[in-house]
Amino acid sequence: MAKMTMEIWKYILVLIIVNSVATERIKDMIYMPLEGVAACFRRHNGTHQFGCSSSRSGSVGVVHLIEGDGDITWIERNATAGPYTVVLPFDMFTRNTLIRLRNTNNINGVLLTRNISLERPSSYSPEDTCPNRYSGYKKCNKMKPWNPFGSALLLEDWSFPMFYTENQTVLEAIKSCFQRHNAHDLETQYQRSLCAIEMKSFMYAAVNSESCIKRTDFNLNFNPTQFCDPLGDRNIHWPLAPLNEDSNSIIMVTARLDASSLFDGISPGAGNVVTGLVTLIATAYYLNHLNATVDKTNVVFSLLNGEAFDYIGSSRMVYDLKHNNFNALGGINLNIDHIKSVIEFGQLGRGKIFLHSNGEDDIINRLQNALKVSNNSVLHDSVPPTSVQSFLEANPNLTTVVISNHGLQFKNQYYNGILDDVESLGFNRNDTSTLASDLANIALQVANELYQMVTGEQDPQLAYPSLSDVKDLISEMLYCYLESAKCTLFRESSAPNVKLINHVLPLYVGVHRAPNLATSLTGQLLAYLTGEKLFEMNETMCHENRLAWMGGANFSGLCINSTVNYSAAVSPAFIIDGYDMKSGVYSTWTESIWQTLSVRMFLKPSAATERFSMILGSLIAGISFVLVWFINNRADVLFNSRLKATVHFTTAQAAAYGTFSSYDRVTSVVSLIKD
Amino acid sequence: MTVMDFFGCAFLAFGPPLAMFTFTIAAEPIRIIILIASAFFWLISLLLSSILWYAVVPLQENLAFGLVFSVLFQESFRYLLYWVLRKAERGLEKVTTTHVADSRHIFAYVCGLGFGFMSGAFALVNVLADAVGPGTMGLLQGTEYFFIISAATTLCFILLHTFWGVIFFSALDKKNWGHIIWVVGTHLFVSCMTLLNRYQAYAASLLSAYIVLVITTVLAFKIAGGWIQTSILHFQRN
Amino acid sequence: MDLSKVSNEKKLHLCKWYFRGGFALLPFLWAVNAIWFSKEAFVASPYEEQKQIKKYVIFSAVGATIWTAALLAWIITFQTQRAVWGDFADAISYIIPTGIP
Repeated sequence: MAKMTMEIWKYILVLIIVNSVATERIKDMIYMPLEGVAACFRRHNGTHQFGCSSSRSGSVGVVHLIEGDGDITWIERNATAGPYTVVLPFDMFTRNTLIRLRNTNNINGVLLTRNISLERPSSYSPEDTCPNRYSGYKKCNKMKPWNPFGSALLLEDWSFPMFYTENQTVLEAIKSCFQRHNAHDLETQYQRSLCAIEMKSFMYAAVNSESCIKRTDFNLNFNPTQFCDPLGDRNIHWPLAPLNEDSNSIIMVTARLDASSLFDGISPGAGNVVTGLVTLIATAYYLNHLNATVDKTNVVFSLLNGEAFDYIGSSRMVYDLKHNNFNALGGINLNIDHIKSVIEFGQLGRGKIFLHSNGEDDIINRLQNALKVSNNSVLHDSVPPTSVQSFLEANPNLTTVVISNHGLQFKNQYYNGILDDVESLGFNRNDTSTLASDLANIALQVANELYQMVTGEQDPQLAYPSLSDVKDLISEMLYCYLESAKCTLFRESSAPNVKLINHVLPLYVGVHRAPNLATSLTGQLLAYLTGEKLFEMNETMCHENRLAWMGGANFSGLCINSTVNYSAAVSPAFIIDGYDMKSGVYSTWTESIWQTLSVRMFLKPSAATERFSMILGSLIAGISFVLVWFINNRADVLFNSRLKATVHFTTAQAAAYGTFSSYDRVTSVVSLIKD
Repeated sequence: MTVMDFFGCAFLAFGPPLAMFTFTIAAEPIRIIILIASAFFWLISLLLSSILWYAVVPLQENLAFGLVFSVLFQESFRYLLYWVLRKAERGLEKVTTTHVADSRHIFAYVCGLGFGFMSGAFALVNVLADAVGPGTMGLLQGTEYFFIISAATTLCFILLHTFWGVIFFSALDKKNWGHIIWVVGTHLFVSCMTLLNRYQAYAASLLSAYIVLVITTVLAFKIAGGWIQTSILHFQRN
Repeated sequence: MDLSKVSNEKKLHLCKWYFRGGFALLPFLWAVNAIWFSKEAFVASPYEEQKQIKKYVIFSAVGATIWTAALLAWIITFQTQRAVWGDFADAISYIIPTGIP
């Protein structure tokens, strides 16, 4: 390697416009990689393909900054230097714009940018108006869909790659490059070298899940290619008390664990997931402190994963329950019939609470009273597109309650979008915001009700944790999920010395092959908050007893004995032999394999420059071939080498050359005359 | 750089040498052998200058230092090659039908071309290989004609090496010190002029290189026994 | 091998065995045979074995042509219809292209 570097050294550096840094390569002078971008990628279900892919070697397009409708019209009508990569501001990122751009057939990429100093759009949800439209128990009302802000961008197969960035330096670089090279003399753009962007996000999978799974399993090749992986991860469960061997009467408390979005690595799911998730954990925490003696009725808390993709987690759980195969809780087989009712924490927030109930049961009224929900906020026979759909599908007589902040339509304007983040939720840890206290109140009330249902007694008014303790806990958890995973709670519940990332956890379920960090941290957190703290154990003892070794209050290490457990959240479609992927019974979502996701900016040479170098090169080469052939053919005339060869000189060279030259001239003249 | 650019530059830099190879070298195996041998000599000179560069750490930042020494190494190896060839002349006589001593200009030319080929390859191939892709120079720095300029410079160096070879060998034969000084001097001069590329003075470096090339070509032509007047007469008659 | 230095008998032997070898699903051998011996068969001055060589050359050429036509037809059909055939096409493929149907 060292030799190579040395060899490269001399001439390259001499010839090239040299920077003071000797190791800089030409590539670095041509290309400017754009950092901090998130890619749109390809997903499949049983019948279709969704998302984006670049061409195999990367899609190159001339940069065009879109600022208004006029710019799109320009691309539609007057653009000459295509294909283009358009740079869209967030408020232009609508279905209408994208369809118009797609119809021009002159687009090789879309870079969505967000200027953080500008106000965010009032709504942006790439999800369908009816999330999980084709699955679940209760179909969505098309006239009054759950998600009125939905644009269904997620459910479209885009013919160009898309990337997102909110990195302001990148944005500035693109803008200045566009201004300098592209923005002037738009009519004669094609004559110039232009600022261009290459997007690389080539997706291996194609057609649908069935095809790509078959292709992945197809193993004739010595070096088999991966095409796609099923979506999935793990569900997290925690029973209030160990289950009975035989008969159980279970109240399930669930919440979803995953959100989704159009772009890789950004799915904050704040209003969609996090509020319900932290409320569930707080409920479990509080209920655990109430020390209920479980007799007949038990409570199981479940965090279900992959719910954004046709209820992967819940459908798998129900499938396992139906097949007597669900033994994540202490190895005891639970059956679907043991489940008495399901309480789900849906999207929560400040202020008013709604109860979506199905079935008739005392539990509904009790929750209504506890949560002080007015009568018209209790929606009977209403099933939002959440996990309970799976349970109801298996057992329509089940009592289900979904506690949410919305009525028949979501209040969240950013459902499954990248903007569904801390800002849209209006959470601030230092601020004594009402969000945390409202959630704490819900958690407390639900826990109290659960206590009563389990024990049949009034709840003991605990000194610790009090409402404000629970509120602090929720506030801290919100910080962990919404602002940075490098937070106290996650540190306390992870093994000591584990490095936590300092940004928002993406809540996208991911593929089942790769364990999801958000799931692991959440599971650990639940275990930490509900488990038994064994202060007397050291690390080795803890591991020997197969207990969890966590950071603890001062991050120095603490052994936790917890009954939190995981179960697979992989759709039954991928475990049933010969399952018909097109039947639509179970989720069939897969995610394509890709190799690189990158964006770089550079100057794309104009056709004229390219032609010039091609013509110049070919011309020089052609002429030189003719010339050399000619000279070589007439070498006897020019140099008289033939005569030189025939006349044999053996005299000393120095002297010989003198004679030689004069002799040459004579002979060439002779040959001239001869000719 | 695009495919069009790539081939354009490759043709520009290596088209003429390739033509020379096809018509003048490929005809005789002995010439190919000598071509490769001389290319190898150039490689060794590069290796030595690299070692020097690698060893003298404080001057690594300073391009001119390495450049000058590299030129001196190349010229030393040109002399070494001359010396080896002269020693090997008798041996070569035995393996070939041509009379080596009589076609010295041809062998000088072959050696020069060998030097040129290798230096050209090292100068440009890395540039071309590193620049495969859709972009061209000019976003961050430089000009979009960078690759053409590189190719033209490379071509100039290949041709210069060829004619320097012819001049150098015959100068050694004739003990013509003036010619030797011309070769080493212009090599140093042209190489140092490329340092100006750092300041984007491409015109200066390219122009001076080609002026030197013209003078060197004429000189080499004369030394090789070419006689311009008769040639012109000849071509006029045809 | 320089055919001009080979005896006529040997030429026939070579031509014959190239022709026979082609039956082992080696159409390229036929093509080589047809081209290599075409001069011997049609251009060279007549000699005893030439007639037989001519026969082998013609048959080789015919065989190679049929093979070429058949392969070409199959390649065109497969390349244009692969996406339409779906699973079947995947099943008979050794390398499945990424990113396209």
